[in-house]
Amino acid sequence: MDELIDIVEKFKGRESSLIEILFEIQEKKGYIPREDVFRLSEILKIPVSSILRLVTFYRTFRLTQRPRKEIKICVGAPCYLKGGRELIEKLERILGIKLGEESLYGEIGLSPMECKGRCAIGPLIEIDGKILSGSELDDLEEKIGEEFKGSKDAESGI
Amino acid sequence: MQRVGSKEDYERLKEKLKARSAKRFISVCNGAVCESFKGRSIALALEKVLEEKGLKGEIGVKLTGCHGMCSFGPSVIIYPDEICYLRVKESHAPLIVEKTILRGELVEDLLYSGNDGNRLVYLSEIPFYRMQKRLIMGHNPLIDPTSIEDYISTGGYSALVKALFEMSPADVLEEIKRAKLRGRGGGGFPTGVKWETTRNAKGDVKYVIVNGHEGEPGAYMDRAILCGNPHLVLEGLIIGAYAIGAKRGFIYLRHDYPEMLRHVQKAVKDAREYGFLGEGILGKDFSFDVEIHLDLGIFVSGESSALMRSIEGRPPEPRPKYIRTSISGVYERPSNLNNVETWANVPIIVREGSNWYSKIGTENSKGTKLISLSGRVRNQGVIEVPFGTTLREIVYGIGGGIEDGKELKAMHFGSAMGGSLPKDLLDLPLDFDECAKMGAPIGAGGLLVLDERDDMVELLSYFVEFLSNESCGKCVPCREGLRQLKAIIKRFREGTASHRDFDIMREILDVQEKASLCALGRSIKNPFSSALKYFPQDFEKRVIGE
Repeated sequence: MDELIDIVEKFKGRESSLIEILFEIQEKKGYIPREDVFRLSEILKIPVSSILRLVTFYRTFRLTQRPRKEIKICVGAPCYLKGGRELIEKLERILGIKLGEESLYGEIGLSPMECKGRCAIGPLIEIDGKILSGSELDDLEEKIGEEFKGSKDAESGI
Repeated sequence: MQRVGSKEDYERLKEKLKARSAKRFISVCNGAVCESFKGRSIALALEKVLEEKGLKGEIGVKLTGCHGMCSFGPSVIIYPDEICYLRVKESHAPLIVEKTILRGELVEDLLYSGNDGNRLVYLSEIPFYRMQKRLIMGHNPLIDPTSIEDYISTGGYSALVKALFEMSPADVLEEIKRAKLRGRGGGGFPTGVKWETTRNAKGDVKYVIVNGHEGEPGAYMDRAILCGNPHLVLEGLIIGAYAIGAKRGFIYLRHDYPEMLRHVQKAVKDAREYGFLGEGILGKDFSFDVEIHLDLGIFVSGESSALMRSIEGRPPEPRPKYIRTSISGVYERPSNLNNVETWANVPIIVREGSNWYSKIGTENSKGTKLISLSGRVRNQGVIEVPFGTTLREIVYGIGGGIEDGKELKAMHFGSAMGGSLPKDLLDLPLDFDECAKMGAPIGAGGLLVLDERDDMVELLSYFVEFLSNESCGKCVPCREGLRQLKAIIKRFREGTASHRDFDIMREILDVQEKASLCALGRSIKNPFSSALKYFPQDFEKRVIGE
């Protein structure tokens, strides 16, 4: 069956389903493919511009594929204060990209993470969905992996 | 499962569940911190060892919501003795069962060690717990959040039964007003007055909403309640709907907490099956149901009018509030929005009565407040204290003082929208009005403790960066004001600021406070004003001579 139709069907009968539909697409595919935006516009009879307005407003939504290696860092105040700032600088140095950037060919991404409520053990980072804190951050370079360190496409300045 | 169709049904069910529930059980915390230290595996390991020893039916294991003491997680509490073990690992399971459960001995290494090095055993001895008043959080270690039976067996839904069978909607409203409950989300607005506005607003269709957005970085008490005790919030919401006259409600949740979403979904499903939600609740002529909506990660969507746009499926941009959302909110209908902690107080007030409740706290701030205590204190986590508790008791009593023997510098409430207080104000009581008067509104209740290592300019730089990222950009004072403040703070950080920058800064803050559409733009004045007032030296030392 068509995945997109399934998702739309799931939220049928609920007035405000667009956000939920988009979220579900992103959960399944990792991002919202452009063709899905156009197809949704046809299925739901909503202008493309209205869908894009939502997609570009919420930071959670993305229109491009996720990077192969995704590193997130908590930017909540307690984490930031207790070493998070230095950790951001360290990660930027290792990866060769700035916070909020992705490397040119989608190899790596370094993005801010919202407060996880784990301030007591902060600062925190997340690599491929796994949360690391405290002594787990000691051998950061190793955990990120040789292949992603300041990779070629990162050096191109994107 | 059959629906609870009357008061008698409920009483019978409660007694049955009470009799069935295990008196001896091990409570394993699976709150945010403990979850990341594999609280679940610890619970499984304990169950396995208990089974091997043939104790499975006798001693239960509960995987619960946040116990509160996050900096010493994972936390395990053994009931009914309330023996408290901290920093527990999966590998400790056999030791805990063999020593403590079978032989009644203690595992010394897992006990809390006080500042003087003394080992403390019981919940009632550890200052962190002893000095709190845990009306809400106290239930977390006792119940499995995915079990409505657990909730009912501890008296859950008895407030709803009382409201529906012994009180009229007007009585419930009156009770909330008399209790002087104030909104816990930041504003401190009287809840009863808000409810009354929606109740009296024109129209038959009204909504009640749980704001579980909790976007303030460093505030994590709402998820501790919602994830650890979802039925408490749901019960409060149903009682609110009854008082206000709403048939439909919304629970607005963060999207990045799958565990919380699962628990809330399960709670709603179970409540429907038991007849606490849906048509003809408890056999009475009262119908109400809820929908769960997800927030998708932008701070401003916690603002009431923005949140309601988001529920409608539109971008969450605040609107001017000439007309309150309690009169015209979701789909232009009267909509009453309260935050998680506020709703959680409702069943307690209805059950115990406003007389009892209003004895707790100060003249104008009643009840308890949950606080996420973080930063440079020794004991960090979710705490709950009655209003009127001094900041000294919070930081040095419950918090155990500053880490690494450093000096306290500031106590910062409410993250980017709150303010900082200096250590001279340690004896200030926790109170909506007193704290606001001193320049640090308590906001949602995130308390960040700073010590001599920390610098206010750095903190402000962080806040202004945060808010400018989160600003929706709709109104000019907020969008452009924040941009200018960012530039000024950058000059201070780089040591190139001049005295003129103080004037520009004050002028921008003034305009932002007066002309921004919502609290996000307005309240940046709080951290700036309080930092300038109490910590001018942090700015002065960076100004270049003229």
